[in-house]
Amino acid sequence: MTVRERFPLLNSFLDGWSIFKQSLLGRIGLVLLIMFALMAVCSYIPPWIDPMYNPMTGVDPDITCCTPPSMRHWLGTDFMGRDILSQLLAGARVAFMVGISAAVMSIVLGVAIGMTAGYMGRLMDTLLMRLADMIMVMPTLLVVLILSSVFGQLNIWTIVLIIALFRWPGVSRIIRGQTLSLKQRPFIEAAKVAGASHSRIIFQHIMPNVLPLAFLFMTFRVTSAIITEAALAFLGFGDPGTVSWGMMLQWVWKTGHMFKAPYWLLPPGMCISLITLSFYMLGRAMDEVLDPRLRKEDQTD
Amino acid sequence: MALLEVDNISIGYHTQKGYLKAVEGVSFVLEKGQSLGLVGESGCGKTTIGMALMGLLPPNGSVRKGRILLEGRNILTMSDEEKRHIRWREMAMIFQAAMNALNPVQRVGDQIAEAIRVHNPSLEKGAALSQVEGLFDLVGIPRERLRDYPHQYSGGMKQRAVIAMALACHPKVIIADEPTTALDVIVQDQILEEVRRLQREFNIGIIFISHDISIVADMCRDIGVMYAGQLVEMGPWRAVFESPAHPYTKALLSSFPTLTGEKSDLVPIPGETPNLINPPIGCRFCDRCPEARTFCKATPPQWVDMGSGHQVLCFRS
Amino acid sequence: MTGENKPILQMRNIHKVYKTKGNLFRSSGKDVIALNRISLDIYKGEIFGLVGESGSGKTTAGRLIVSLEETSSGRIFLDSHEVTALKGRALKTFRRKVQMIFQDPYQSLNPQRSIYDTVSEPLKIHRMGKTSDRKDRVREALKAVGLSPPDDFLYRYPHRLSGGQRQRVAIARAMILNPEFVIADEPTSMLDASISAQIFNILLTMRNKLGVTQLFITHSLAAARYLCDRIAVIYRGHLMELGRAEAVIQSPRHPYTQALIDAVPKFGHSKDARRYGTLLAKNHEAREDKGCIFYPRCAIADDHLCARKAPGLTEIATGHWVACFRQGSVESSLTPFSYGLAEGR
Repeated sequence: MTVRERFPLLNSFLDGWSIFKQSLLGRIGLVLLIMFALMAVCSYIPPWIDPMYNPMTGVDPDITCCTPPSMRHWLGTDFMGRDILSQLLAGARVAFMVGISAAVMSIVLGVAIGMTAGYMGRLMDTLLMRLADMIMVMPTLLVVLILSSVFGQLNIWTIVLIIALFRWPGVSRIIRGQTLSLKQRPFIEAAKVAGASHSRIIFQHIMPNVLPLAFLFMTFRVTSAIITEAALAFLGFGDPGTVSWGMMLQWVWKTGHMFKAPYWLLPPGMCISLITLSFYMLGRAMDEVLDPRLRKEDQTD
Repeated sequence: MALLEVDNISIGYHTQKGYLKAVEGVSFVLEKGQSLGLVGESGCGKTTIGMALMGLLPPNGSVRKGRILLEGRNILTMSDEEKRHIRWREMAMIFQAAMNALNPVQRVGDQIAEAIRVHNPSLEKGAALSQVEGLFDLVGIPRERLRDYPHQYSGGMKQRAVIAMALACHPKVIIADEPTTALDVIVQDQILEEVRRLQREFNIGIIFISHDISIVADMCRDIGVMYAGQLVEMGPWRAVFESPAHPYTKALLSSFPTLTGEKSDLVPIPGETPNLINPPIGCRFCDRCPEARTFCKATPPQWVDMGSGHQVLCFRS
Repeated sequence: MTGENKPILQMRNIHKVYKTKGNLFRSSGKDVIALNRISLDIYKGEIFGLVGESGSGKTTAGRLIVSLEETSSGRIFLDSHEVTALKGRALKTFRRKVQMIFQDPYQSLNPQRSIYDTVSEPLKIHRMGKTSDRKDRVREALKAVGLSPPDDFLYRYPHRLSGGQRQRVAIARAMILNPEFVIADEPTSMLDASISAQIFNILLTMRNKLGVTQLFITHSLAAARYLCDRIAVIYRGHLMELGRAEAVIQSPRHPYTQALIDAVPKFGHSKDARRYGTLLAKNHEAREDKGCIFYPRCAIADDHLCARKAPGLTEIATGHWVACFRQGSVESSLTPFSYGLAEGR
């Protein structure tokens, strides 16, 4: 028995990887993501080198306004004299944090609710789906606006939570649909006849068949979370204590440097676009990995 | 001159795993008004032949060599225009799961009328519809059902509608590929009776493709048994059934339970069908054959004439 | 299967109705009666065939026994204990004794799980044995259904197996708990003849060597004849005829059974075979709720009797039951057709 057979998860992963490798989009996306991940990791380096590079508080003693790129500051400084590059790197960290946390939370919620609705059907299904509908039509940004006007400036984690709470309905609809169709499949009935409890069926039979779809969705959720956070920050409702790309854009705008400092305006904007693009490409490549494998039946004739 | 002659055709599919030799060196002849059955299990190539006859092979499939002669003309060398002319007008097909061949959002009568008008553009819609009425009478569907949609038809009725569509242009040959597989036995009996009657009335040649030997024996004058892409036995149905010569035919016959007669043990065929991407050089059945000899594996078997049109591809006979 | 045997499974007045939802123009939909007060006994150690066409209710009967669906009314007994609407622990215990083999081998195995996971799942559910024991038991089960050497199959996934192999895995899964009673719901309808023969022989071995009682659901009278000790013919939720397989098939008494036999292709002899001729070309008019369910299609029906009252199952010979007022009218002097099929031996 080979190693591959012993650990089926590893086997599936390796199979998936070989298909993924073939996709150009997937490769590009992955490379970009690795680049951003490196950025995020490197965000710790500048402040360690010199406190003036701290994205929030690091002020260059010699500079008190916006300056173009120089040897000391590779991307220049913002209106307060803070280093733009370190802000960019920190923004990468925040983007990943926000994107992935919000995505994971909304997926977990969406899968749990979708599976429950699909499996239990009837009243529970109707209730949950009506709830999903209601949430889906509520405009996220508006709600955050209202909340922040009531509670004052919001913390970054609160924002992540809100994004997750508003984004699960889309996921749950898809998962519910998948669950409904799976419920009828004979192998589920066979598990019931063998005596499987509801939780065993849900976690061991339905979930594994539903997770690939969920993972696929996750990549899309990440992009939407990042953009939402950026939008909120840009509009001034973000967490002022956190440096994100959206925040940077807000500062550029608010301090009137939009057309005066392209070295400040362009990097965060491009990063937002590129990271969402790379997640999207990853998602597309994963689609190829997940679909044909699920459909691989060696039937003759 | 025979109505339809298939001369040594080989058909293959380009797949991800390689070139699949689905049909290898098959030849048979269909006379006017006669019926020929092609029998075999899944993967034997019978459906592929049916599709090739109609020119309906999927993009990755092609006839590698051989000829298909319809009244002497080789349809493989015809232009697309000529093929379109023949398809439906001279040769029609009743597909497997034909019930799904009906467009669910169009009325049945209209669909058949449209098919008629495609092949006879000068015909007016009204005239076409009255032709359809005639066809419905022929196949036993009440005329008033013309204006219904497919979902309002029962399984048997849908099948009759599809048969009506096949007959619409008065073809000389009909290829029926598992036309009754999805039907209950009583309806199947009625449909088969209908097909027999229509064949007699219009003197149509039928190629009947099925995995069910019992049906083919009832419907066809001659039977060809296929295995792994090859024809292994061919002859009048009685000869093939009552004196089968090929070990596969014998094995196939003894794996069907019968309703009457002595109750004998069903003898399954051990093993699996061979890989058609790399088929064996010798006999394709020898791994599973109870009568195999050492030379069967290395030498391709030859056709042996058993007399009265009964032939078998095997050394053992 | 002598008269000594107690029935292992009893169905009493099982009634199952499916309510279809109404649409915009009707407040309530039509009810479909899938099974109409069916009663039947299955004896220990026999293979009992339930033969019917689509819509007959045969699959529903199997699903009710195995508790995949609930009866609308009626009672089911296993070993004289009522098992009709079990829940919880009692249901779980019941599941160890009654198992099912499904029709579609391409859908009845979870594509994401290996053969080992699938076959060992019942053991895990019922907490039987330790992991190493389980592996051995799975190996035994796979060997018993002819998948040898078992280690070749343990870690494969369903998509790498053929239809026949998958169905054998399904049988291994059903058998791993050593159930008393197994329902096989058209286990071969999606398989070729030669593969079906393998499956039939496995089912026979299960009865002969292990004494497993089986309910074999099928649309094929020929398969039922081969496999079953007794068969029941079911039509639109009603039992038409019940008895020893040979008796029902060689001397059918119900016009529907006779019509089924007429319709089965006779390997080239259909043209000369004599027919019972009990089927009408054009149906009688009839009320849905009165009279014999077969009346509209019956060529030998009596308009006064058969259209008004529904016949119950009556025992016309030992162990041979028929639900027909007119049975016996079509002579079974009709010679049972026999011919010599080349044996190929």
